[in-house]
Amino acid sequence: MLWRLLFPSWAFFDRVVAVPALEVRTVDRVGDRTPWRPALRAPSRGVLALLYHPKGTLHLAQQGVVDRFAAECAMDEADETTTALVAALARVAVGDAEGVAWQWRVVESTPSAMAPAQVVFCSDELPVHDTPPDAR
Amino acid sequence: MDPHTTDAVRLMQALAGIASIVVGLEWQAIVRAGAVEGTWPAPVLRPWWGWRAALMTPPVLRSIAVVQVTLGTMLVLAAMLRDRDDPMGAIAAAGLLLTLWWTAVRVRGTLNGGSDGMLFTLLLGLMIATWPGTPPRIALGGVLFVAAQVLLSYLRAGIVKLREPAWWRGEALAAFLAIPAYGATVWFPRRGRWLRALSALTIAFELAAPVALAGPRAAVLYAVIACGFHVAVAWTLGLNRFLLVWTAALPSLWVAQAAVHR
Repeated sequence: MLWRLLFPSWAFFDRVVAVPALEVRTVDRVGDRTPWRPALRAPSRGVLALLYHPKGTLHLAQQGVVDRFAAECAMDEADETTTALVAALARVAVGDAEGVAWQWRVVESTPSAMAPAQVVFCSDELPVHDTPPDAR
Repeated sequence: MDPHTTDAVRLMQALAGIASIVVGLEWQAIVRAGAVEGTWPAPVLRPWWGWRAALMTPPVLRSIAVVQVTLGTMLVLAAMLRDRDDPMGAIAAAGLLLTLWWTAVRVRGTLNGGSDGMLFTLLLGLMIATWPGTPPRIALGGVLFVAAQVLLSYLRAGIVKLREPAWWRGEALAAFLAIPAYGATVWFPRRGRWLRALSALTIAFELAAPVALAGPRAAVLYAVIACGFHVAVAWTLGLNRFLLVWTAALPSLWVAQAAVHR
């Protein structure tokens, strides 16, 4: 961790790559599934955000967790901790939505490209009441 | 250190202090929103923390922002001190380094990517440069370490873009602006000549970083352009901390050019 802080990679916007996105959906009592919806949304920002924007910083950090998961999946090395962190993010996004089950997935798409998104990972359907969202 | 270098270090201290205060305030807002446990639940991370779990307690989580704001304020005040042997600035920088490490462990990575890395570099350089009794050469080395990382951050990014045809066609910039996570709502040309020109300007600016070493005027001019570049990036992509942290590190280029021509 110390090494990563001391010698960052300085890789900024090098090349266009597929961007991962976390999506969630719920399943109701009769088994109907809602459409997939994004779990993370970039907050709006005003002039003050040039200097202070905690919601934006949090959003980018959360997207970083999803990016790391997608990168690990691409190398077939997704570890339990990263998977659990992404699942926790998804569970918070589902919140108290009505339904008996919920599901999350990570899809990748290239910005500005017309190609459809590729599914990187799709979770099983999880019971809503067994997985309470963390306090927010 | 000569008086001009001392002035540059003081400017870096003041700006690094302000950046650290913002880092602390943002962390406090994230903690208060309950988003730390929502995003990085302690039960998930505890096995990964190992022995460090003893430091990741809720009271530390709640107090780290206060510590960062206090130490950041001390760093700003240290920049105003006339006595170069006062340890306040070095102690504040050392304390802030520890809080950055703590945060990185708490969230299992950097919270804000490269800006955390540059702030860590900056605080380490300042701690070395301002530690009472540090030999002048070592103190200068601390500032030059920061300058080297600043130059490297631009140059590496420029070289990679130079080799990417998508950057020259403007397609890469358009693609990055379209990434939803950045929420680029500001109007921006999405294609055509303007986009290619902006891409070429970005590459030229990043590759020109070593020009800052040509002399004092070149260093100041490059730093001013760099500030404008970071304002534009913060405005379009929302990377506010990069603006604060790189602005604080840029005066090191002035010290570096002086060292080159000594």
